Amino acid sequence: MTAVLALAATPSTARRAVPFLGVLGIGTEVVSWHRASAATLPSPAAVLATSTSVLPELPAVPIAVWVDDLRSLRRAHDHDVEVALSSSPELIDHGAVPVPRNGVQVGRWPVLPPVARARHRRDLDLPDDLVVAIDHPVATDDVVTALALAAAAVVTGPLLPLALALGTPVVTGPDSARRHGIEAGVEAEVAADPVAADAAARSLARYELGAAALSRRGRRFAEHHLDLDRPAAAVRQRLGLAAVAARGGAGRLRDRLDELATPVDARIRTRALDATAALTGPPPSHPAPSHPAPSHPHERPHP
Amino acid sequence: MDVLVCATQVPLRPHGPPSATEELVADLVGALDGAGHRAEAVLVPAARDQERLLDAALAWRLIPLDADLVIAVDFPAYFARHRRKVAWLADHDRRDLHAGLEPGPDPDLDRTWADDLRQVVDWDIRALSEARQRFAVSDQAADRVRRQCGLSVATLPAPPPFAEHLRPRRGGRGAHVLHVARPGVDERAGLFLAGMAAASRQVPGVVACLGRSPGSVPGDLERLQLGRRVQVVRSVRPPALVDLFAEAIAVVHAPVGADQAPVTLQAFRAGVPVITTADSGPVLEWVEHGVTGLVTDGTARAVGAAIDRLVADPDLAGRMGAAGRARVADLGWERVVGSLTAAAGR
Repeated sequence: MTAVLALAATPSTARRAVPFLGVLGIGTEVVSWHRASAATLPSPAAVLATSTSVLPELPAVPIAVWVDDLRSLRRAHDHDVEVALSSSPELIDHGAVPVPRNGVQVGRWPVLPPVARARHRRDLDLPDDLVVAIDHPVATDDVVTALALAAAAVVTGPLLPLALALGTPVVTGPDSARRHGIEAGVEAEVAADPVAADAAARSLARYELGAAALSRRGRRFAEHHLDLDRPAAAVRQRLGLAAVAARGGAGRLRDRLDELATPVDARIRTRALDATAALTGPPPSHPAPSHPAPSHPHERPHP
Repeated sequence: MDVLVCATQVPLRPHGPPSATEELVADLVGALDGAGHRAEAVLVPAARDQERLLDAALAWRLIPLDADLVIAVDFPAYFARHRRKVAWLADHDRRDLHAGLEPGPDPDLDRTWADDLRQVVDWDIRALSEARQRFAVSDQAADRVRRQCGLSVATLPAPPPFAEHLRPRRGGRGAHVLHVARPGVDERAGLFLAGMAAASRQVPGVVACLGRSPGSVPGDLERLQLGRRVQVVRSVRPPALVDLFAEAIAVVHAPVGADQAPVTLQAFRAGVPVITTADSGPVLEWVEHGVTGLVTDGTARAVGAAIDRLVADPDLAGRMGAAGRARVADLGWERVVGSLTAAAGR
């Protein structure tokens, strides 16, 4: 049965839960606490609260709550909540789980290093030095495609984390850089005005070495500082919403694929599953052939 | 310390000499042993076709490597998982990936190659990032990893095979112009022969084949009427190869797509100048035009003129040969072992 996760929000704090809940809620049934408390709905297995002010009205189930200062962190401790969430470094030092304010589900987006982008552009007859400027608030398909194909991009809006996650060589403004903790020239180039940003992006598009380094460091920055999957996994575990991890050889195989950030639909995952299916799956209902057929034309059948 | 040298095995290969990587692995294991370490090679076969490209990479992630240090020398061996891993990227490690940038023969596979390429590069970046330090055998190989992965890579050249046996001849002008054909590498034997035919001086030539001779050689010899002047020596190994280097007036070395230049380094160890072409990649990291050899435009006429020049001027050839020998004077396994083991301590 799917676990029910309730969201308990106040009008002024509800917004902060939106991106994180989208990740935390994967594999659960998400309901609003007001509806969940109605008699017709199943009891929640856990609650995600956006403010400590709602804690007194919540049921005795595992709770994760956003905290804004040390006083609210103490209040959360007083209510014995399982997890306090914050984007403040000070509160993280006091044990709150870091949830980036402008986060992105990094694992959902495949990284596209410049060498792969160049190949895609060639396939699509796009200019080799394609530069785009993105300040859209929403990641529409068009915007994601542009960010995925660009040789370099000027990104100043809320899609900066997505651009970094995609491995786009990015030029951004000083405010965006400061807001995300980006160091100029390390994870992205920083330019003070649009003309300088455009010139920097065009220069970056022609500078293969610099673009490759920026792409790699931008993706790593997104993985370490902007990823919502990591806090979501930790919170899911502490709220008792996580599935039991696979153990033994299959678990190790999955761990090795995960540590290389392999996408769920990657060919190598399918091949790994195929290779181990006979060892990890249920016994066949019909007598199995004495030797499995080769899975690839280059592989010779067993003698 | 206990050191495992990880590389790709090529099983059931037709009889012939070891590949450049196999020789490098054997020499490295020997040098580590000689330096007082306990070293052994770990070899795992790998497929190079698109569909199975990452299978062996994943296998390396699961192989227990109980040692103090792991040195990975090629793709996908650098996917080995070890807290003290050093990557020393040798021949061919990234060429397949580079080739993948060009359209393939199968349109269906080609359509999916961009996705596979993305996956390979991302995995490469992650596996190579784990290394305590990354080295490549040539500037060309290092630069490719920098451009594709955005990672820093230092150049650490490998001493050529049997370097310790190569010595300049005791005197004399030299007896022939030498070309060495390594298996698995396009050394452009045809260009050497065309250059010999274009040279005005009737100097003897030798094509020394480490394995079988390139298929085009007999036809070229007949077409260019070089049958009497150019000798083809098959399956040549030391000490005969050492003697061929020692007696050479010049070595013509112009490989296509290679990542290192062992023949050039062998020529320099033997005090022999090298004639090459402007598109010979790693050879150009060693041959300085007019100093240690001659860099031509790659036409038969230019190669022939370079041969004529060195044959006509033994003093010039001698000076260039001496400069080449000086250029590789500090190229030794002690330096390689020192760099690799020091990197592990970082």
